[in-house]
Amino acid sequence: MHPILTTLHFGDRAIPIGGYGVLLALALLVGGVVALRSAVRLQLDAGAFIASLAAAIGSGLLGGSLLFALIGLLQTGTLGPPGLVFYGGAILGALGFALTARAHGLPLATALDASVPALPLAHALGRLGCLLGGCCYGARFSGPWAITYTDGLAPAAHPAWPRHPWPLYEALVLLALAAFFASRWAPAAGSGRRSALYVLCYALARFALEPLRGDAVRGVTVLGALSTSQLISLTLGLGALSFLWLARRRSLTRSAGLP
Amino acid sequence: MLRRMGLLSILLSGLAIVCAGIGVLTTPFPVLGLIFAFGAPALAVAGVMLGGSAMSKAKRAGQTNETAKIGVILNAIAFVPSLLVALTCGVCNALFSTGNMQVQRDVRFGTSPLGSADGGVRALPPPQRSAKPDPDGTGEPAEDDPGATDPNRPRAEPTPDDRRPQNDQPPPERQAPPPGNTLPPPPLPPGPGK
Repeated sequence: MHPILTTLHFGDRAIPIGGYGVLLALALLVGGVVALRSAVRLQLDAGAFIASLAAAIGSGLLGGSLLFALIGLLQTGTLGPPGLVFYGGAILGALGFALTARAHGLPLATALDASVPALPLAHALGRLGCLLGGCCYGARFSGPWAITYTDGLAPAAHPAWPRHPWPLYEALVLLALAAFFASRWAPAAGSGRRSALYVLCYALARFALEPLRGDAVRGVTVLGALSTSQLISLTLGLGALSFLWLARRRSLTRSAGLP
Repeated sequence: MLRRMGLLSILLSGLAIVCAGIGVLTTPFPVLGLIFAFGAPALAVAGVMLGGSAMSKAKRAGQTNETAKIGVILNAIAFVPSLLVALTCGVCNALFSTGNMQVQRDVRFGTSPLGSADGGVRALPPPQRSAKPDPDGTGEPAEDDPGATDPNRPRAEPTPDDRRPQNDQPPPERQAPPPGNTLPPPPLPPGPGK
């Protein structure tokens, strides 16, 4: 764990380079390049896709910050320190992507499907950034693979208990999802089914992993049981399941020749 | 028109870098630093969007727009340092601006702030002349001293004032070396037998 990777010195001014920031920038760049390659393979307009990706990144960073601020505001009544929440970024980022893609005349379902293998890959890199920064940490745990954050800059080091390596759990799940959606077993791009299946898989995984989180701020809870992320996972998962069910029903109707 | 969009995209990449630099310099200023630090990645993202749009329009018009392509690449490169500045200097500025962190500006070595109840005594360590170790006690650093290894250079004798701490506190006692660095005492010679 390295919250500060290195420190750059400009005269008497020292600028610490945080591990989280480096991994986040790397994730966005790698994810963007992988998604662009996938879009070019699907013969989408590269320029329009680049513009949509940039809109997704910009609105995603804004959405992640806004949801983090909102959760802090609802839980503590004050604006806390800045931070990012994945679901806030994903929802507002998808909205920004869809609006820009539509403005440029991109087929939305194909464009979303093109970016699916890149999204879990970028997300996994971002989670490794969480591991370096000591945020998004796991609950107290004394198993053989428990990790103890010792750097005082890391939020997980207060207190410095052995914990679940939660960012690693999610990174492994995301890498498995990226490998599956890049393989030939994934649904074909173009109908939106690939994106819907990804949303369903991630929502299930996140819902299952969420109880292992150890951060104090887990957002608004329902009956003291569900966190904000679990609520969003439930909503998105049900939405994706409905989409997949409707798409399957439509394709069955079409193949049967019914109106 | 398309060329102009491409040029504007390149301009935005330059502005993003400049903005990031100013964001670093204005970190101590509450709102100003915040605007520059978080404005830099926003400019880079806007530049990528503009370049991408220009590329798309050029493709539809059956042309190629190399300027827009260069703009996209430059903005993608500019995005990385801009994001790092936002996540270090910008976040630091935001923490200070929202009151989550505070600077203690009244620290004075050896004297306490005006009106304090402790009568001017603070348990702070004496100021060090240099962070480098001073092995021979002459007040000169051991490293980074260009003339330190020059055998012909006359060595100035330390004056008593040089060794005295600035806050009139007694000098710290010389600590005993750690046990790992000391040799065990030599065995005593065998005494005369009785």
